[in-house]
Amino acid sequence: MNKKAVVKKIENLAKKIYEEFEFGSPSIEFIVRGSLKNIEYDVGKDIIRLKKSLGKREFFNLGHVRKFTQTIMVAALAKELLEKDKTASLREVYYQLKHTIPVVNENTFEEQAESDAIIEDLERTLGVIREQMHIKADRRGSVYGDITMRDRKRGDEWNCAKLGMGGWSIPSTIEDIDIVDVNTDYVIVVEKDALFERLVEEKLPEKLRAILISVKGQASRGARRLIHRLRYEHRLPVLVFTDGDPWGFYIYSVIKRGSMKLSHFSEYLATPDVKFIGMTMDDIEEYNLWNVTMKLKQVDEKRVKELMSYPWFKNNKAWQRQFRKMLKWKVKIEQDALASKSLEFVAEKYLPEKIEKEKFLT
Amino acid sequence: MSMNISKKETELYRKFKRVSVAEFFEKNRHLLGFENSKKDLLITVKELVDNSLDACEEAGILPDIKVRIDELKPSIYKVRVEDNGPGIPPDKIPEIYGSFLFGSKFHRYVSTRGKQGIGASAVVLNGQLTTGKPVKVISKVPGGKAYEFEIKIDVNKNTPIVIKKKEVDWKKEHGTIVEVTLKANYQKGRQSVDEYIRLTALANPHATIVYINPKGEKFVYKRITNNVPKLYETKPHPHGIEIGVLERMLKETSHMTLKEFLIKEFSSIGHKTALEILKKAKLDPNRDPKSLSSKEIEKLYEAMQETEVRAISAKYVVILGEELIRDSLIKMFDPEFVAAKTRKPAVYRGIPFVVEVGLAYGGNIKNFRLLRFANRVPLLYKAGECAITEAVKSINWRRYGLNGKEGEFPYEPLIIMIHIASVWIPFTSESKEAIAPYPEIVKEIKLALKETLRELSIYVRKKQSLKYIEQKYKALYGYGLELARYMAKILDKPENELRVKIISRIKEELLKDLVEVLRTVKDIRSLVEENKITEAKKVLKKMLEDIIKSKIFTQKEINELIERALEEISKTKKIKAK
Repeated sequence: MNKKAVVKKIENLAKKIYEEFEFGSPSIEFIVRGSLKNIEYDVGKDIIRLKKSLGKREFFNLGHVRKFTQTIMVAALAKELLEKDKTASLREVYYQLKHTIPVVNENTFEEQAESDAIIEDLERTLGVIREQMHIKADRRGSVYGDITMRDRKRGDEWNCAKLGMGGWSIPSTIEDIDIVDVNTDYVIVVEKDALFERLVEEKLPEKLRAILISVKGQASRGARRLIHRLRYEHRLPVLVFTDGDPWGFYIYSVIKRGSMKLSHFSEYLATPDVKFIGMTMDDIEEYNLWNVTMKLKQVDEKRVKELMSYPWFKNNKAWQRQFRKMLKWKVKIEQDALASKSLEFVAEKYLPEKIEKEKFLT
Repeated sequence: MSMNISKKETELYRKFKRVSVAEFFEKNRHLLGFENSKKDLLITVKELVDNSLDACEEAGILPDIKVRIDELKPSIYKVRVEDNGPGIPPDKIPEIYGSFLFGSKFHRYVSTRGKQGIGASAVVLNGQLTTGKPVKVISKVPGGKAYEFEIKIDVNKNTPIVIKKKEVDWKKEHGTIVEVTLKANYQKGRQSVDEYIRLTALANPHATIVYINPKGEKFVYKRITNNVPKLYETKPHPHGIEIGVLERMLKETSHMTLKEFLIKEFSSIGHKTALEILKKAKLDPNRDPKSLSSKEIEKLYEAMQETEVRAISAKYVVILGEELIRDSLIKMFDPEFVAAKTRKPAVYRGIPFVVEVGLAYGGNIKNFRLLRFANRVPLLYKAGECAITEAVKSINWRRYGLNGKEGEFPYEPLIIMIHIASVWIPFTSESKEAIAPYPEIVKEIKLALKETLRELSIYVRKKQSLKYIEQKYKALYGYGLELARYMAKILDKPENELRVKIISRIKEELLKDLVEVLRTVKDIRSLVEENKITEAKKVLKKMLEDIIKSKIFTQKEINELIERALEEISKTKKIKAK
């Protein structure tokens, strides 16, 4: 969608409200945000989808008026950004719009979380993503490997294996980035930066002809979008490598099937056929890692039970086996624990062996 | 659950027959509710007061009850309960107070309080065992003489020992005084004797109760109605008993044949039904009830459950009624709003029961409280396992405009009073302090509560709309100004144009709200109806004072709006008149 179309959408929303101040009840309709209650799991596509239901915010409702006004404020700022061809970070949006409202003596936004949520609401109201409104999140995640990209706007081009050990930082949106050339066989996504650095140092990307992506915890939208594009534009298989705990498993789950909150964009962000390479509970037995496991805490245990009951894990026997083992043994294992064998172990033995034998969970 | 209760009852009963009463009582005192020294005092008072109320009601007398507790020395209390009931003939007194009659009450099917209790003799026995003191009873029947007794229980033979008996002068025409001395502990609080008396008065608006607590504080609860509830006794329903009870009834019956046993000992069983049951059970109608084997008893029980039998008539259930609940709540709590509902009788295992709900909101009430009653007796213990608590906690409070989470009590100045009336209430244990949460009963309570809450929610919302009208228009105005500014940016129009448009629309909205207030808020509506227009205007202006102060609208604008709202009202009135 181009800039003009987005501006048009914002103007139409304002026009509708303008007319309603004359003839009707001014309201903003939006698709209700995804949560466990209103999403569905599409078994065929292996993806989480939003069961769309419409919510409504009315100006003349004391409970709605604040959010109603906030939504229009963000829309107005977005229009300004688009017209000036500038982008603003989530935090800048917050500060741009923050001030005290007369008479009621309240701030327009108390904290950034409030404006972040309104931006997401506006995304669902207009059916555009925030980057299309020139609002961006912090960049998070890095890429290393023999892949050449070009920034259409700036006109520059780079190879991600020639930017030093840190690789290329993934921006909030990669819609202006073209993938020009790819000389690799697959993509390995790792949860932690430490592992990323270890694997770069061990020259794993070169040895295995792989693109390495570090997501630094839960994958950002930009990283998820990049993984999606590498898979579907360039047919590269994607392997995900996280800690062996419920949080790591969920990082994989979000990359694969999308998150609940952003379930309205799943088809755009999720990569259903990524595979999970580790850490698994089986690894503990296979590589005898018993002495470097960590105790499963109560919060971990609770989270495992939640994951077990999610529809996309519920009927997956292989995953249920992992969950059950974890609950039975009451342990979890970090990626970094492989260093107990030797620093090279992960790059020289663990990953190559697993890839060769195709020991994946899906 | 009730299966177990009855089994337990039966077992207890059997045990009771084997050992001396003292031994039995010591071993089972907790099951009878004597759990701690604070509760012992409550049970003693409760038992005696319940008996007095029952005696009055059964005789159709308006109860006048005096309760006095004295602390004789630390931890030793004397409980004295005086009533104006029909009195007890002197020859019956030793038997009633001087022998422990455990189990005698389980067979009665009537909406009295007493069958919920453990019997006066248990209270007497407890007093005797903890202090060695006899019970003192003074009683006078109409036209008779007053006698004073001092009685102890012979704990080995379970027979009365009359220590003293003498004729005394008592001006009262009839009545009974009972004095029990016991080891106990007096405390204030929600499970105290003070509270029990107060709630008993609430649920028994036909009684006058005077109470003096150990601290010498005097409480007088005067009756607000002169109608004594009428009690009818009925027999057990074949679907409402447990097998253990049936076994006992078969052993103890005086009837010679099974057929006669069924017809005479149960409600709702006639000739035809009796024969149908016995045919199903493959038992000879002329068999001696005492001769049945355990297997045959089982068969008979099953046949009774399988045969269709009409429910017990609801006339046996004694209700309070909506009007009395409302009056009683107003008198006791001085709330700003009350509502009450008496549901139509529902049936649980052939036994009719009625749920009544009273709500009192605001005014002198500061917190939430749930008051539970079974047959007009307040239930102070074991709230957690009670059907009433379960039903109340399942309510979605927000739906009724109240603050609170589902699964919890609301955070509101609200008293919810729930009364379950029935000839047979399924309690969770022998101490009879909580009602078993059977789905039929919980469902009925929920329905009653929701019906009543709807009335409250209408009131609460109206109240809120008045209180929040200021808040609403301040917010609309403030946010409206913001909206004008940003809408102007999007639409490329002058901010002032947007501002005028939005503010004038807010004014229209205020007009609508004013009309609504004139229509629905009772105090203002009645002013309009009585044509006290100036007064009505004054009230409205006062209400909108702050809006003028905040310079949202001018005095002139507000005056105009009020005029227009009044015009609107008179228009609709004229249309109605036509």
